[in-house]
Amino acid sequence: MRLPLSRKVVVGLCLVAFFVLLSLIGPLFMHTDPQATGPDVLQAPSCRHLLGTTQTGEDVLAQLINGGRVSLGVGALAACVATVLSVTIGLISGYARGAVDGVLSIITSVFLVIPALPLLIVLAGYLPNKGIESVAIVISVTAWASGARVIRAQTLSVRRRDYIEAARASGERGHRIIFAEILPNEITLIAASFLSSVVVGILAEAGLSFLGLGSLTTVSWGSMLYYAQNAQALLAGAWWWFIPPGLAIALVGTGLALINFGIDEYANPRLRGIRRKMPPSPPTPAAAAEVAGDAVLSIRGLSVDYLTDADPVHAVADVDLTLHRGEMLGIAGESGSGKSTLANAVARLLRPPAMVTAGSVRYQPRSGADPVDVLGLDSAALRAFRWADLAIVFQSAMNSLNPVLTIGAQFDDVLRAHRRDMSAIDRRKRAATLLERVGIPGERLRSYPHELSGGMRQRAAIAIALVLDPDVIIMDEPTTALDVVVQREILQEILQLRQDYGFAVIFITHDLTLLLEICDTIAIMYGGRVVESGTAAELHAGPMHPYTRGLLDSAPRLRGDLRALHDIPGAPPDLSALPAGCAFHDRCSYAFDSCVDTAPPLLDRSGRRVACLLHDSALRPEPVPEPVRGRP
Amino acid sequence: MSEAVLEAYDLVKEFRGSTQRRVGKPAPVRAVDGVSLSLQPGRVTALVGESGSGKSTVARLLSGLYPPTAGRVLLDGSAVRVRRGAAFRRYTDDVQLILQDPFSSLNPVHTVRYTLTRALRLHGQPADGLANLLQRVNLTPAEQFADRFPHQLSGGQRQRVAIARALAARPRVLLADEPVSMLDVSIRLGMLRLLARLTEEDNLAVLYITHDIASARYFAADILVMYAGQLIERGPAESVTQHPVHPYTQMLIDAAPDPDRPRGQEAQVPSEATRERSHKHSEATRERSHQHSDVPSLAAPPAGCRFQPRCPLAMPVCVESFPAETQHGTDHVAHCWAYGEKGSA
Repeated sequence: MRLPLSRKVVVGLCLVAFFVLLSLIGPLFMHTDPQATGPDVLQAPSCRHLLGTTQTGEDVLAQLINGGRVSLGVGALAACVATVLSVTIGLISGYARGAVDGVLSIITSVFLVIPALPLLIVLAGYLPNKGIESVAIVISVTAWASGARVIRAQTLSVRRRDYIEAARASGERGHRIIFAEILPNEITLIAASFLSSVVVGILAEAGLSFLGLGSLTTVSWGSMLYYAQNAQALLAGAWWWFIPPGLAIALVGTGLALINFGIDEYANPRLRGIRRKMPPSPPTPAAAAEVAGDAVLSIRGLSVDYLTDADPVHAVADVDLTLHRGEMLGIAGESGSGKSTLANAVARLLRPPAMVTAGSVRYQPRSGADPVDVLGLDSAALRAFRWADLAIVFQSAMNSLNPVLTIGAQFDDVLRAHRRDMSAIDRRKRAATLLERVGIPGERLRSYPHELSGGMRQRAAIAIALVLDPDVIIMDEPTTALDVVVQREILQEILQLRQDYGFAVIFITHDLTLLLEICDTIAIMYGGRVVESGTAAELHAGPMHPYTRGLLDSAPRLRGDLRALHDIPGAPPDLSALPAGCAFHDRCSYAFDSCVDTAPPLLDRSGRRVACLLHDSALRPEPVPEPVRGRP
Repeated sequence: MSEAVLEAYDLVKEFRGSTQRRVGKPAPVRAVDGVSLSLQPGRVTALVGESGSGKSTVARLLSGLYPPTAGRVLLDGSAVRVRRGAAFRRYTDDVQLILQDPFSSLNPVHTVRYTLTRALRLHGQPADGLANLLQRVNLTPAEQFADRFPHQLSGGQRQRVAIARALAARPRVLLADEPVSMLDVSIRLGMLRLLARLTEEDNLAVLYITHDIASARYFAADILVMYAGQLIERGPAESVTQHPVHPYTQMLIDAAPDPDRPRGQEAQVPSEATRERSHKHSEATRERSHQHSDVPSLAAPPAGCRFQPRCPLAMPVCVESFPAETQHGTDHVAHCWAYGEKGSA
């Protein structure tokens, strides 16, 4: 785990440490009594009095150092009490819910709406003794409520997480669930709330003292300001009297706020921002990636890296794929195989830190015009290209449809942007036609996404993808979130639509058995590379790569006799730590010596392609292991 | 068949109030309606259904996390009435639950050692059982895994830790709620094999909840099929998958991906779209489709058989009442009017 030592935090820590050390160690070296009056009244800083003196001849530096003890002490003590209060009340309130939560929430809300400063003044006014402990407690009474509110909200959210349910199901005791399971997950929040309470405490103490309501017999930064104000130090031009305590308060507050930023960034990595070096050169359009035959999309040598603080992670490495007009190309892969990154690269949807580092994507328009270099499109050309020529359907239609717009408005957005000359009536007609075409009544254009079922939403997303009659649709796990019956309906619909409209599909999923049934050709990805490709029939009849074969042999089937299943040992590799040689070798039961150090190239074997050294006659051992069994 | 360890009779669970996601519908949601089942030692029973069918709620009712609205749960033949405290803990000595998502079911702030030792201690097991537990779920060498945090483990390894936590109690019943659906396809079989091995070694009674009926065929002795909160078919796994009786089970099996299906004979399920097209002018259908969900709304379920609006065999009687059980071979029963004497129930 990396500590959040950004520049902000370092500065913050230095500021706070400076004042804490000053007030802790300072008195050991500074023997002057801060309240000892002397003959040198209202002296500017000099060698005798480094920060000058007050109207009664007290040493300002001695006051600053000793006052720091009080101010910081009050702040810390008030924050401790306030944090204990807010954590206890927030946790109980959030965990117990029901009536307990109701009562505690009302109390919290009351303290939140009472203006803190007047309450503080009233409470401090009635204090029987004005020692710093009682001041601290009064401050904490006014400061705990906002923290309690935040911690209650967090507890409500944490208690719904699976690990809390799992702990309850395993029979864990209630108090341990609160203190050992929930509380540690709120530590950053509690730390942040503590630090802001310290700031509040210091400021409140200064405010009270400045108003003369604090403990005026002890020296604090606040009481220094009070006396300076009473003596009209400002008018007298005695800046050395009020600037040091004022500055000290401001700097400690700044320091604590900076540390708090650091905690936020640590708890919320997205705030860290991306300060990583980008590769200087844009991807080189690969030479002569001409679009052959009836290919509509040619991907050549495409590589995508995720740039991290350490070495770049090669999410997609040297991928060659060709999508023919009207073809259904399936890409199968597990998590971390690079399949979605590949789709996003082709659709130009990659966001930093992902970068295309090599390769080309060529699109051949239907009209017979010149092929388009997709990776080289500028943003205006890209807007025209996306949707009109290449559309995308994502896994969760709820995420890709805008929840606050009707389905009709979302059709309209696309049409207005791409078909400027189309009239509103024509746009509406076009949208209704397509919606009915995917089996949703046209009047549903007035519906909002949440009014449709999951299957209907995915149909609507497909209809919107079709509205400009694109040549290519990329579907990234379009049916994974759906139930199997609905999935089947959508698949049927996609196959039918493809027949009617003639678009080509790149269908991405983890489910190879599904692809075998619906696709023309299939590419299997593993560790960022294509390890095998061929027609669905070829792959089904005889998978060449041991991984493909393992996937098929481990899938339970519903038809035919029960047969022996074979599982693949191990787990898919982490892209940031791919095994050397063949990425699959440590899970492969056919692996031999060369697999450990030689990365297998994608070999052409009579139209099929496979990246496995077993198919490399120069390297494979004798006798040749029999990797391909006839399929039952 | 040996004596059942855990049985449930006519379980009903209604959710009401603010836990509902859809606002403006005060009607209680009947997530589970009249479910009965029994789990035997050394035997895996699969509970199959789509999302929203109530199968996960059944697991939570059996685990004691939710109190049932009606119906009984019996452990070793005696009624279970535990909500909290020591009685609930004693119940969890026998009945343990494994959740679906290993990425969220382990507390990120605790090491594997903490999670497992805590589970051992809670159930009065010696704390030195840790290494043995890790070994049993194939996390070896044990010392290497004990001090890791969840984020340092892969999905499969986390799920093994979750299984080990359940085993720490030395339970007799294991409720596994979709234990492999969040895992990568290449490691699912290994995880199911592990569960099968543990079932045999410890003579566990296992409820395997899944939406994947093909995996149920291979790993369960019996299959129960749930639709919209009700059990609609149950029987031996091979019988249910090879000779499904209920139209919904048939639909489920036809819809499952199957590379062995001859090309050109794509599965045909009566599509929600064609239905909506053909019934376009039917007021009732439009009303229904307005609150359409793939599994019907449980706040206002269809009358009679809940599958009737989607059913290719629907008859007038189907709207009137839920069909009684009909027998279709040894231990294979279904609830469908197509096989019953109309009106006799």
